[in-house]
Amino acid sequence: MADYDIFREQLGIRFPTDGYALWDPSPRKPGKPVKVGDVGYIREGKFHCLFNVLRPKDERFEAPRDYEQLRLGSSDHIAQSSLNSGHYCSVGVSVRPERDTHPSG
Amino acid sequence: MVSIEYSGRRGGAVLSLPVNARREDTLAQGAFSEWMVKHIDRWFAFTQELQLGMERMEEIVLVTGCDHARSWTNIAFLGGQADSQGSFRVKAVTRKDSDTEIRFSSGRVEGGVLKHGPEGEVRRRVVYKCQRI
Repeated sequence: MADYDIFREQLGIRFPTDGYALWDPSPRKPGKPVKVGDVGYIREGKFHCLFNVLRPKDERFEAPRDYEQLRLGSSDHIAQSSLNSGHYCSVGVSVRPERDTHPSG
Repeated sequence: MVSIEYSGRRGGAVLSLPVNARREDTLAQGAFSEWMVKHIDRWFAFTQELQLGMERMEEIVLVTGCDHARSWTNIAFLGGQADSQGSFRVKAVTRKDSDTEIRFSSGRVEGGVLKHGPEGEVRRRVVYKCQRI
């Protein structure tokens, strides 16, 4: 199994409600991160966006035939929270922070 | 320095975040689900027109939430050997101007692969990476 599949599968088992772990989370285009409403696919651990269902159809992106925008009752539909810094480990993995040693003198 | 050990044969994984990631989730999960069911055939036909090599419509993802991380280290232990280990060093320094400087100085993994990014200066409230979907 490839590294990106092991990464997704093992973290998915350990953290089943936290979604799909991307091996390569860098956006394809700098400054254009993944957004809620993006439709796409994942290849080799990287997300590829095709279009965003919350956007009206325009000439700036290719869309399926008979494309329809998803219009929600409220534009304020995003809940923001945070994912704490730290080490998220699958089963069988242990992490040990070690104090850095600096030679003196 | 962070040391990691893996014991097992099926493979293991670590996602390490030196600073908090910003999480976004839609509250309209039901509307997204219904929309996907209604439109999935058209979306799949679209991927076929684009010749993306997609074989099953289950490969299509509609993002209803994501985590935006400013820096990350991913490790995959490939399994197949009884024990594996590795280490890496990342330092996050918050400066007076509220920017955070991330320094990744070294990393190695035996029996696995390590991937990290970005390093250098990252600014608050500017999203550089999406870690999870």
